Amino acid sequence: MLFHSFTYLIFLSLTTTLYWLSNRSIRIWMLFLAGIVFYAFWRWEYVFLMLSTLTLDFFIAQRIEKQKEQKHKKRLLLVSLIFNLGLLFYFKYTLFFVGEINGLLSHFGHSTIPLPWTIILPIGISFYTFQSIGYVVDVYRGYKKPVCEYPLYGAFVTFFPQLIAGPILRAREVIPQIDKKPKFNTSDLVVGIRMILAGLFLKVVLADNIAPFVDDAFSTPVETLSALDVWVMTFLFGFQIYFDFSAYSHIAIGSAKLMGIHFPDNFNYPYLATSPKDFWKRWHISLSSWIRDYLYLPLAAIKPRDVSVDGLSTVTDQAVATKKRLLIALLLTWIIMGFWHGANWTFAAWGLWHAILIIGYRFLSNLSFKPSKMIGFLGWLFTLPLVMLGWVFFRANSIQDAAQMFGTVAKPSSYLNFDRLGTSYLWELLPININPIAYLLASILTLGVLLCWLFKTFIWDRCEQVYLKKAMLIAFVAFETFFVFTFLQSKGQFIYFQF
Amino acid sequence: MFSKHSDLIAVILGGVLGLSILWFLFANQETEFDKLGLGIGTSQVYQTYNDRNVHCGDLTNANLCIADTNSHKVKGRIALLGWSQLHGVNQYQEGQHTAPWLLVDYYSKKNIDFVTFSQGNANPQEHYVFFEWLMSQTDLKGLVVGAWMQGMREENIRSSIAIAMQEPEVRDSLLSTEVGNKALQMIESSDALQTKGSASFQDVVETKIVETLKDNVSLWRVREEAEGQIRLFFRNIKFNIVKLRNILLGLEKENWMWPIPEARYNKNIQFLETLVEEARKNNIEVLIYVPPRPSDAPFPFDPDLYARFKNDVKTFSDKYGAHFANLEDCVTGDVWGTTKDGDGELIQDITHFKAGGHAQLAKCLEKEINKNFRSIR
Repeated sequence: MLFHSFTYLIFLSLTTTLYWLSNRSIRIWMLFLAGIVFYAFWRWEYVFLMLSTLTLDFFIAQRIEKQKEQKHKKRLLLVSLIFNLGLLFYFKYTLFFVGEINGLLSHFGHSTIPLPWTIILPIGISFYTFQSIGYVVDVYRGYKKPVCEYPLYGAFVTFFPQLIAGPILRAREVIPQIDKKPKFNTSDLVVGIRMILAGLFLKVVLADNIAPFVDDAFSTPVETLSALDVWVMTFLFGFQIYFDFSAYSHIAIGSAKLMGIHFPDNFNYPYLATSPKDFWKRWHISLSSWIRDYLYLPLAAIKPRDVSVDGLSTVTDQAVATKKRLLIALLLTWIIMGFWHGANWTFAAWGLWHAILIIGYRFLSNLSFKPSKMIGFLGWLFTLPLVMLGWVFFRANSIQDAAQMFGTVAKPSSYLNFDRLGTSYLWELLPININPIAYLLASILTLGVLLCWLFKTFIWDRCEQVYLKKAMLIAFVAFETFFVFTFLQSKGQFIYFQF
Repeated sequence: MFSKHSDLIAVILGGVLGLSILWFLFANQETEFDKLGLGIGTSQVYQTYNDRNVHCGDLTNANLCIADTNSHKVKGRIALLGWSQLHGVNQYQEGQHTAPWLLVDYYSKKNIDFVTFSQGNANPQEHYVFFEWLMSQTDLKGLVVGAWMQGMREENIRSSIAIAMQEPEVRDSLLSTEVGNKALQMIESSDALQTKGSASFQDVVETKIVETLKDNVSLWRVREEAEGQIRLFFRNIKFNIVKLRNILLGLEKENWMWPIPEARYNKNIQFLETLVEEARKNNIEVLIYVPPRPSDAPFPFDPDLYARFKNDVKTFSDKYGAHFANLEDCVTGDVWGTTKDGDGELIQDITHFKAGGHAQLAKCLEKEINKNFRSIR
């Protein structure tokens, strides 16, 4: 079910009302069923796939708890991992790898492997698979007691606000909240409504209206683009994906809040990050912390000494890992993270790009700059364009296109029409090959995000006059309602659905 | 009590205020936005002939024209593919006729079916895919298609045409050509088809809800007007920004040209050429014409590129045995419309004309078809 649809708004209202009116056992079954209905609105036949994942992991977690010997526990964990990752691999990567192998085979003159059926990627598989794996690993590590009630575990995995595009939740944070109904309070209701409204605004007013400019720009043949064009395109796409994905997270968090369930924040002004490391503490926080806890730390042979709370933890024993091992773990983690987003070399390259940024940052950090406002500002000045440039891999039609766009950015001569230096018209100097409005839009959006943060930090958070704050709240809600009601239509999916 | 629920009251008040403003601003307005897109005083006119659909747009209604066309026993069938020049009429009045209607009228007396398909800002990529679909639906004796310079700027295939690619016959035809393959790859990597594909349960339910709201809630009907007005508002802002840019960068109308990147030009011309090639392979007679434009208005394209464009079209027309006609000067006199240019200033429309212009275009096309199409004589 799409969040930005009237169907969802009706579904959410009904589910929330039933949730508050029903007793514990009905409530948990109702949430489980609501998750299944929510998923079935896309394709009902894939519900069984999701149920098979959660059923297997439910029983495996219980068996792990009962085993006394570590090797038996490990075997069970492996069964879960092979099953879950096998399904993920089949649905997400088969076509890609068969295509790549066929490319190689035909290159060397051999016949190709036929694939007589089509594979449809089940929506949300990357998210619910990770969530379920996380639960089994937590039980294996002893951080979480297994859940004894099947519908409770089912309600956790299929909890509809986060089912299709996250946030990826930890069982130990969410299951207790589903298990014991929180007390109803109006502040949760208000926060929930505001988050949903803000999410819809980001999606239907901002992201969907930026999309045509992005699509148009990225359909321009890459060889005709100038460096300025590429920068503008990366910024525009960067904002589109930020608005689109954070919109989903806002609506997910808001929907859960209506039921008194707290989800950790998934975004925190990522484009104001002052370093690549800082960016990943602000962007898709639930995924980056999941990847860190369940992939990076095991690869680096670091045992977490504590469990993450609200998606983030820094309590680990880094000293035990060698520098070489850390480096390999980092590179592998980021390439896998890239591939998690999609079966294409462009995504792997995007992961590698971020790995390089983080390695570069770690190297610079060792030069022991003292943190200051100036260093912070300079950090932002470098981090923002580097992060934005990384989106080229994410959005480019092929790895060749992405490489050519990077080449253009690196070439000084593609910043100005040097051959027109003698011309009497200034505009002829500017090599603009995409819609000039895209340039304006990218500038406005950069400024807009900065102004929003300044407003929130220095006016909203510091305002102590109750009536003034209420008046501002009324104005915001009126503004958002006006635009959301006007533009709301479920014409396009969220970008992250494809992952 | 108030302080405990004051935030909730503020949110409800905000919501009511937002919807009230929407109602207050737009409830009494009814703007025809389609007309605005065509230029000042230009209307969108798809005319029927004796209750027969003879002029359609994209695949949302093209089957109506196919159905009506197939129901007649005729000597032959000619299709005209075009853009808004064919369905846009400046200062349109009841009783006036478009060029497509006049051509239908003329050819029906000769027992020949004439049918037109035109879409706003159509490009050669779209025309090629549309043509493949058309061939899968009906037999054609002749094809008339415009070589429109403005269309060479355009990119992508709209979903209401791309949906044709889901049909096996069209898909097979596209796979047999280089550009067809490109088009398929392009569309399959976008979500143009997904949105129009087989409806999910979500689509069915959402459509029902929206229809119910549309029929029963007055505020719902204001949405369309509001969205259009908001987009117009931003368009006017854009005009002013462009004006400011022109002042700052020393840009004047006379030296401004619409750029067409080389690769985009090459891609579009390749599609146009393949369209002609495929038609000829299927023994369809082809007339490809350079459309009329006002001789006294600045034409915002690089003159060298425009000359190359006409030459390229003529070259591949000769190569495949198609007929080429330059109808640039076909429409003359005070028949051209008015539109706004990039900075919002009123200028002469270089695409749309009045009914008088349609009559002139119909005459020119009639003459070229009669001269060149042997199979319908």
